[in-house]
Amino acid sequence: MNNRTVAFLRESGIGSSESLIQKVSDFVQPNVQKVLYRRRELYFLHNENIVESMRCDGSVNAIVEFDGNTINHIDNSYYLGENGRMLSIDMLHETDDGGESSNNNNNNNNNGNNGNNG
Amino acid sequence: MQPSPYKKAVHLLYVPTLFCNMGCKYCYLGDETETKIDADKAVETLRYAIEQFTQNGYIPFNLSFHGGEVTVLSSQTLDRLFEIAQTYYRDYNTAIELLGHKANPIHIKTNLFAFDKHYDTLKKYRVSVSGSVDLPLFLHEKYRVDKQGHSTLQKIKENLKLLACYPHHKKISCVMTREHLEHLDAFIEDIRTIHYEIGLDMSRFNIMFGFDSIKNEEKFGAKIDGTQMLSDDEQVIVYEKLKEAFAGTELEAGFREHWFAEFTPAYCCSAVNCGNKFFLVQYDGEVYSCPRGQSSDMYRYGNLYRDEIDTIIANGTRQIATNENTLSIDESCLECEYFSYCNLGCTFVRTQTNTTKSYTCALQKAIYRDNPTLYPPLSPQERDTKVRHYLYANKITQLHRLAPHTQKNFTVTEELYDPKNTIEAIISSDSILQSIYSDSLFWLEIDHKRYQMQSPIRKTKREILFLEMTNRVLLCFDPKIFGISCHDEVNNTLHLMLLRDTRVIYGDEQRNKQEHIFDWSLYANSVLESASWVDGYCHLDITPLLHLHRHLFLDDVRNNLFVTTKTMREYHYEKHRKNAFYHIQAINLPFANIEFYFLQND
Repeated sequence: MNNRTVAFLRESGIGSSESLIQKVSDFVQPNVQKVLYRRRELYFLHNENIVESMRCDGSVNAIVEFDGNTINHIDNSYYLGENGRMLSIDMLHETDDGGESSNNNNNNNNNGNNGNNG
Repeated sequence: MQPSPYKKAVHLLYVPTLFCNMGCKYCYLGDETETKIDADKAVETLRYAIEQFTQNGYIPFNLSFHGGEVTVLSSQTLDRLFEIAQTYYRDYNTAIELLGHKANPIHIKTNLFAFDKHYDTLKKYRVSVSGSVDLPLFLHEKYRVDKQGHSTLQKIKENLKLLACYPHHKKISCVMTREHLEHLDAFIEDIRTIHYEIGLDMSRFNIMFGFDSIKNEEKFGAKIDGTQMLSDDEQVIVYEKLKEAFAGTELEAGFREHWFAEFTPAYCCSAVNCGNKFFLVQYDGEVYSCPRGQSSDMYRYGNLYRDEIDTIIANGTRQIATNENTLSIDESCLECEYFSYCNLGCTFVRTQTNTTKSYTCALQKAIYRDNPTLYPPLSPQERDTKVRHYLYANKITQLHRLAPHTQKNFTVTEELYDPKNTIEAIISSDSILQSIYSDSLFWLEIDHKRYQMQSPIRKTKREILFLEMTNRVLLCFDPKIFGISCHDEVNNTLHLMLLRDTRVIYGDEQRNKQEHIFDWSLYANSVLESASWVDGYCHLDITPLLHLHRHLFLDDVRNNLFVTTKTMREYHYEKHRKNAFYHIQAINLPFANIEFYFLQND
């Protein structure tokens, strides 16, 4: 299992340590438990529920899943379809914000004083 | 894609001290407001923060000061802080505008208790002031007390009068909890009192709603009676009552535009992921999401003195997504026609209150319904798209419910964005391409006036000329052009292509392109024999060539003249064949060109 875990960490661009390899290897169970790397965070899921998450500075923009059996690289367009097209390009430039508009420019300190909602 | 020296614009709150001179009973910062003041550190960190942000490409479009309580600092310290902020805005005003934002005044949030003490300093720097008070004012007396529990009301009333005369941006805001609702008539009456008697314009008043915070309960042992949060239905009661009370008055516009603005999409609470843009920096270098998040490690992004700024900025988006992923989502939100105006509201509040949708949901819907032009309901298709983006950004456990798109509609390899594959880099590493894309190879002289011809691929400014029948048009160039990418100059030609902006569809791509009118080639020796020579350069009169095709020029249609040589043209297409990154970026003709209208009747 450890070799598979090392491959998953490599695919996610996450540096591997012995403890992380062991932690992931001990956790994954095909069809029941998996780990999912997304945006610098590694999530541990049991039946689609997060049981733990930890910061991991990986280098890929895709979602990468591993259940001990297979590794899945999932592009954003898998979930977002055609609407993910521009996001896909944006993400290369580190503006992965879920495609939100840029109009929410105030917080409850400035109370709209900046007039930045054009 | 226009390269920018700036990575992005951010909203920066600076907290020069956590200390507060008051002891408000619903404060969400708990005991943190007892932290000792360190004035020198406050000044040093602001300077360092601005340096770190700007030097790494993050440009604060808003720089505001928040506490604790900012005005517990001395006027001398405030002067030093505002001087830094003023210099920042002066130096980065253009950058802020380039990033699509407007220049701001320096802004502070204050409890107004020491406003009089710093009046001259605030006025000197034209600081925008947002004061926090409780309405009705007798509840201010009860909740917004000093650290010994004594009333601050008399002092606040005096400072409200002073604020009314303050010559720069000013406003007040209040927080509403259960007891405020019970005294709504008095609340309304005090808005009128402050507006009409004290003289402070209440048009830009802001209402906020308190929420149950963990830190507050830790400090006071349990929620103090009366400070419990309102349900969203109760918030609507407040909204409707105020609407009724101020309809037809001079404050109606303020009610509609400002009083409940925090609950509109213009605010951070409605962001898909607020960590993308909003940052709070404390005097000690600690970076959090916002004043709310300041009380929780779950909203801490790093420390300016210990972490790289790029990491801190990236942590914002990551940390908010991580927090969102621990929260459930209300199923009704996924069906809501206003989904993207709200995006479930403030992540922090949902964390603290164990709620699964915005704590102001019903209120927001009332606001949207009252302003359908600003907030039209989303169509089911629009809503589904927004929901998809939201879930993708924040809810990995919900992704399985999205029908996947198993094939891409569009794909561009990421390698295209590698710096070595930009058109600029490809040209820089190829001497022949440097000639093809040179800005100085060809020019036109029209009645003795020079017009440089440049490759349309890279130029950022297009010049469009007007030619008339009486103009004499000379095509000018260095005769060395025939030696570029050529070992047999006698077989090289000067090559002109004229296109007209009447559109045609052709090619395997079925592209909609300008129509080709003519290609014209003249062998090198014939060119040299036909041209006149000025200072070693060839001047070839192309007026007859243009006149020969005058019947093909249309008065209201732009024409496009390209010039190159046979061998440069061949080199370009060979490069197309060999280098896909070049091909895709030079998909249109790259040769020196100039556009013109030919006006035959002028």
